[in-house]
Amino acid sequence: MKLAPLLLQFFDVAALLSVPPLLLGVINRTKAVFAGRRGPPLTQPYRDLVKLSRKGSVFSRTTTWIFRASPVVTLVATVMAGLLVPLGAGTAALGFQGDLILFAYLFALGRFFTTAAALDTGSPFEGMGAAREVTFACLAEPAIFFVLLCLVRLSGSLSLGTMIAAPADGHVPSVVLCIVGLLVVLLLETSRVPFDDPNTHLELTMVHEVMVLDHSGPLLGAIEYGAAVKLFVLGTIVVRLALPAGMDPWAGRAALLVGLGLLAIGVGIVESVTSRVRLTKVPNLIAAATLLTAFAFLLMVR
Amino acid sequence: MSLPLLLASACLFALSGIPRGRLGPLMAVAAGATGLGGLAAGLGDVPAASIDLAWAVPGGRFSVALDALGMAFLLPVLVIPALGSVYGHAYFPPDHPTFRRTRLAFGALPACMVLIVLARHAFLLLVAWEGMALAAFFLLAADDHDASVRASSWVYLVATHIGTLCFIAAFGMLAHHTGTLALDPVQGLPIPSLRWIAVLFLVGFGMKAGIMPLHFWLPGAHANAPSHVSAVMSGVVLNMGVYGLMRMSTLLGQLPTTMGGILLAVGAVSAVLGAAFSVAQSDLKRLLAYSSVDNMGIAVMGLGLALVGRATGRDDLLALGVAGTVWHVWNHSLFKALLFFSAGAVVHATGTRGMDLMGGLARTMPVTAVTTFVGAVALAGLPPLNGFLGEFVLYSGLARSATDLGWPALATPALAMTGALAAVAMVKVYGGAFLGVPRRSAEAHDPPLPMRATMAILACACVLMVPSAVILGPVLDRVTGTFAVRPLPSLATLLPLSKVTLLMLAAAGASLALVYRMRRAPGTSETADNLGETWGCGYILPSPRRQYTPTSLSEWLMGLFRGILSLREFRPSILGIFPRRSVFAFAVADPVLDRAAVPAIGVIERSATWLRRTQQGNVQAYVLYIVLALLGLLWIG
Repeated sequence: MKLAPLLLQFFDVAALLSVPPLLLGVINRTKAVFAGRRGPPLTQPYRDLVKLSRKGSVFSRTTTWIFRASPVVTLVATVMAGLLVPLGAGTAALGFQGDLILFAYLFALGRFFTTAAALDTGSPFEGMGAAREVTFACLAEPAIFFVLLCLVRLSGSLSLGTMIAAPADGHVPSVVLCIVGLLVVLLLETSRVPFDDPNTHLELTMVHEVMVLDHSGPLLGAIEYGAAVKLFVLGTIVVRLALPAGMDPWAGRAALLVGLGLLAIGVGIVESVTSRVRLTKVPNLIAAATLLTAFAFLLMVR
Repeated sequence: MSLPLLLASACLFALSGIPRGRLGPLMAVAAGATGLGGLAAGLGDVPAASIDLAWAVPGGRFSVALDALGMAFLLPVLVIPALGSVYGHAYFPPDHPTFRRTRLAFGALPACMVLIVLARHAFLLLVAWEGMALAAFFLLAADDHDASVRASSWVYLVATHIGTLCFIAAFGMLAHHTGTLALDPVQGLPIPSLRWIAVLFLVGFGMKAGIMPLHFWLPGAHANAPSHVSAVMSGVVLNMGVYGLMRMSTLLGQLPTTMGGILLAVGAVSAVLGAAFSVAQSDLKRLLAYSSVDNMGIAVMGLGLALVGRATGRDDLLALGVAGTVWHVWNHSLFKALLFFSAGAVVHATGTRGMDLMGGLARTMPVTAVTTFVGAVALAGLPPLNGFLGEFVLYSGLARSATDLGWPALATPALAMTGALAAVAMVKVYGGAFLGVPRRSAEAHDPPLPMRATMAILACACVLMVPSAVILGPVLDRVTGTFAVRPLPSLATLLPLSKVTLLMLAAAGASLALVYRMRRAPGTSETADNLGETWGCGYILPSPRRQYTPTSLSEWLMGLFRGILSLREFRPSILGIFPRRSVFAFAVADPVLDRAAVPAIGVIERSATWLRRTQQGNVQAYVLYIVLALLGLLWIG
């Protein structure tokens, strides 16, 4: 009896730490297929991480300790946020009543350090990226909280583990709206098309990539790994909301991993068939997502 | 023992302004320590200590008492001014033209605030309140040779007296129904009177707390004052507004749910707009001043939640609302005083308040950089510092209300947006002033030891507030107890505070260990040959002027708030093949002050010119007025 929950938690932690780069591999493979290429192997992101961890670093003379600490703090904060979300029925490794707030604020902490590190370099490009990042974040934050409120209302609990496992009975439209809103937030937070293009080569057009231009070696590896974990964590919430409630713990976890794979393919498809939204239109798109989630909450409360 | 010690502390504070040398700050520290001793003694007082003496003033009584709510608000009143006095001794030069006056007022201010918190009689409260308002006026006008300082201190004086007038009306109405000016719980008020009294208190105390749209006096006053004054004004004096609202809420037990809703809405607007205005500033001290508007808004939101909880019988919301408000007020006192102290050091070292002219200070002012960083993370409400824990309590209360009431939870996204905006403001402060390369080649340096020490003490307090959450929980339970007769659920049963604290400290420890290890690891350590210039697309001669300025960091975000902020932009006009020298400027004015308060004052001034004839400055004339007024009153009576 005692062993099964422990085993589930162990599985969750192991999956959280090992699966994320694979999602990047799936996205890249999807894009390659759409472009008519064979594409790199699915394990390429792992190889990249290993390669980066073996390299040395170059630092700008301008930078201070913030620049060096930022990738580490961001990674720790993201992994900790991940430890608050169970991958299937059961309790999360670190979950508690009210963990949804810590969850949202851990991402904010990461953003604070990333943008501060960008300004630390004194580069005009990185400042530009930081300005874009914080602008988007201010608009996206209410959307995240509207979704969380909907889930609190649905489940009557303040713990993410219970919240995302609650059955949607009677509130299907709201849950669908929440999923749509969260998908927008996910694409935004993980710097994907239509908000940002991870493959762009022009500094002026970048958002997230430009903030980490000066990072190199293991620190860059930590940033990329952290970004993958973020995709995994946010994706987990989206997929678990879409999955039916009350699944067997192991079957639920298997379904989740399949769902995450499908989500990655979906992100790849979006990235292949659409272009970026014009930068000045991005706030409108985020505001629309916020309104959708607000609508979802009002539908539930009425 | 508690009350005599606190009154002695107030006297010591008042006297600390008299000696010229080091004795003053020493007396202030002694006053703070005496007061803290009084608070410690007060924790053991059952029932609460009180003193009630006859007073020669007609209708007045010297009636003071100490309860848990008072203790909670006395804590910052005792700590911050004592530290401010030490800081000010090094910061404010003795040869300053208003040195004596400023020091006297700096001592009188905390003395009056101690009395405000202790007062249990409306007359004593009003006297102490006026004393505080006047002391603050003289402090704000410390640099009165500067016209803008005079202007902003006059605006402050007008604003604070509008508040006082509201109190006189409100206490008059209360006394009309209860027959006494003593501040005792009131039952059975007729609903229309209750409504009026509640609104008058909201305007009066809201004016002091700087709640939107009554904040118009605040940014100018706090930004133009000397930094140790700004710290006490923002960190402690604003609390008095929140204290007043809380005290009156305990007295008016029958406040309806609507009142809680109004406070939630007013607080949410104040928080979001205060944060947005603060992001828009490029003057370091104005930014911090607007951020106080935002934080007071958060505190008022907490009180609103508590009142909703009380009116609807939701004890958990009441407890979380009160605890969250008090906790946030404590946190705000600590980090705002810390940031104003640090800002003072920066202004002193660079000779400017404009962040667009700073940059790279982390290298030249290492101590100030660290204290500012701690204050910035705390103010942004980010884990693992104290700012997060206070907001965590409020968020939990708001989210709990989503399960059945629903509508109070609508304030949650507003709080989230406030948090995001505050984080931008802090990235702007720290990133703009301390990171990057210096924009002007000024030789900045850390301030002298007393200033550094007070900043370090406050920074440590911000960190230590996190593990002490476990001790503070039971103290906050006693504060929430003052809001209800029936026993309320304790904070420990509502929130897993110890677990949150432990998690955050563990994560902070893990990050620190990783960063430390990384500095030594071969791939990530600094050596002589892995340093270079920042990547600039191949350009290798970067100029400091190419950096993104703090103003440009927030420009886009501010553009989205264009409808509310009154932005004044002067775009450069670049025409022809050889364009002429051009200027880009960006300024943010306060719409409430510019579009509402100043025109309103103008209208009142014009329509009241005929009254000037009665003001001749002639003592006999004023005696005549008094006699006429007395005769009139006799005739009515």
